[in-house]
Amino acid sequence: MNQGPNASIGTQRLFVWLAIAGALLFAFAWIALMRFFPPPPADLPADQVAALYSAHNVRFRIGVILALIAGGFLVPLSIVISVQMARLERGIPIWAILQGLTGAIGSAFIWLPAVAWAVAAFTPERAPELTAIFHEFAWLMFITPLSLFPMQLLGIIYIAFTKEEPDNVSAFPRWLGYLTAWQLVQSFGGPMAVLFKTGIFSWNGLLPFWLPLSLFGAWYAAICWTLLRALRCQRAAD
Amino acid sequence: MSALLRDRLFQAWILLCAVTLLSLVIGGASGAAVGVAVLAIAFAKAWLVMFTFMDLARAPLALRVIACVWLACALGTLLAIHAGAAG
Amino acid sequence: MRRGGSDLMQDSSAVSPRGHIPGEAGVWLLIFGEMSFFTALFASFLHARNGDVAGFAAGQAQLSRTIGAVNTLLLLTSSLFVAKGVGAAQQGDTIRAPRMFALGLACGLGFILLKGVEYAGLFARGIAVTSHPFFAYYFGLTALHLGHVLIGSGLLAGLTAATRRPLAKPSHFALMESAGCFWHMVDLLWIVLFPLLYLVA
Repeated sequence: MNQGPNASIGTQRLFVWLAIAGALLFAFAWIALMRFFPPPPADLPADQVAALYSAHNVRFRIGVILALIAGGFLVPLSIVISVQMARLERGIPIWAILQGLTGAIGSAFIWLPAVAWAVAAFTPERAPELTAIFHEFAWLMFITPLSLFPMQLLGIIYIAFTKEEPDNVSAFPRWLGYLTAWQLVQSFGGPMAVLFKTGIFSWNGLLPFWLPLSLFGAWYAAICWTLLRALRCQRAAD
Repeated sequence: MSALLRDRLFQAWILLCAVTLLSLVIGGASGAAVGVAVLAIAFAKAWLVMFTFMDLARAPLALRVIACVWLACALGTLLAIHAGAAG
Repeated sequence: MRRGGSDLMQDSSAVSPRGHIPGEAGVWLLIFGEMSFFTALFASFLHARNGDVAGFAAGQAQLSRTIGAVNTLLLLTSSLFVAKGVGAAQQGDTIRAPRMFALGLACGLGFILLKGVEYAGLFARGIAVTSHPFFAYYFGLTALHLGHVLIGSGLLAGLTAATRRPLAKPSHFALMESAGCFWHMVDLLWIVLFPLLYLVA
């Protein structure tokens, strides 16, 4: 029976698929049930904000439940990324630890806003201004913490550029290093949403929302693909 | 000094600085053509930066073509939107 | 023209019919992607300006063209130094290369300083992001670009330190060229930002 470092390949593959399924479930809940795509304008008056949560209250709350179930999808992905990084590091795998920890903390910024959205929808008859507070809290938490991800991305970039295995079997080919670096460079956009209520810099605008979201989607698909490819190669080599 | 003047990167730098000052002078004027002129100058400068400083002049044909097509598309898009103000 | 002087660079840098990709293919994904994102923002700026040409022109009149132009010249000069530094490092010149990168970094820091002066001047006159859509774009776009200048300055500081010794592997040359190209991209974005914000009246 295989007891070597590659013994967990099956579980790692499962984790990647869990991450893919979780992301899709979250997207479904967020788009189809919570109807947050495209996002509500950041300068929406309080009564219209409250209407977002009271109009289809039960559907919205079911969406929140699904989002909470799926919200941890970054954790299994971060674990597999860390395990794959640790294979390539010498000595104590500190880059892998940095990546895994920041990935786990980062996932909190996906499910914590869902809790705040749940609070907003929980008592639809309360004063609109109170609902608006949780609405803003949830949105700013959801959009701005892209600033946390730079720490997570740094390790992936480092491994992609220093590893000694060939690109075509690696989970971290050099092009992924550049794609990840692009994401890091783009991460300024999110926090800017704090300053603006209208226009392209607000949380529903081009810079904090549309560009990072499309880039994150591309990056997520890319790293899931390279991880699965690397795991396939490692199983074949075993 | 003459060696410096024959240096391609240095020549490009002189040209880029001169054109920057030129667009500053043009920008002082008024009229719809000013916007078109300074944008066209900016993209000409961008081309020069790519093909000298970024060393695209020695790059494979495909990358050079992509760069030129990209610059043309970006300039075309911006000019088309800019023209929307006049029309 | 620079020629690959180091043995390590012979195969990749020598002029061949297939050419030499500056940096490596991956960095061009980042460069074209980033430039496309910025072009989308520029397009949005021009589109918003179409709705309020007079207001945008009034906002623009508040800016100092001199500072904008000097910043353009600073970035152009730093790009020249960085291109020279990359060439020197390719020839294994461990004295000239870090000097060139340090000069490039100094110009970059000058840009940051002048931007701070410009922001301070506008704030002193009571102008903020909320004053007018023009200033939302002005502060948003320049702050985003400033973030890129900061990242690029970090890269130049890294190159200044790394090129004190001969680069050991072909991948180090690729990374150095890539970092240089990133800096040129930062320059290039400002080259388009400058006329958009300061000159398109």
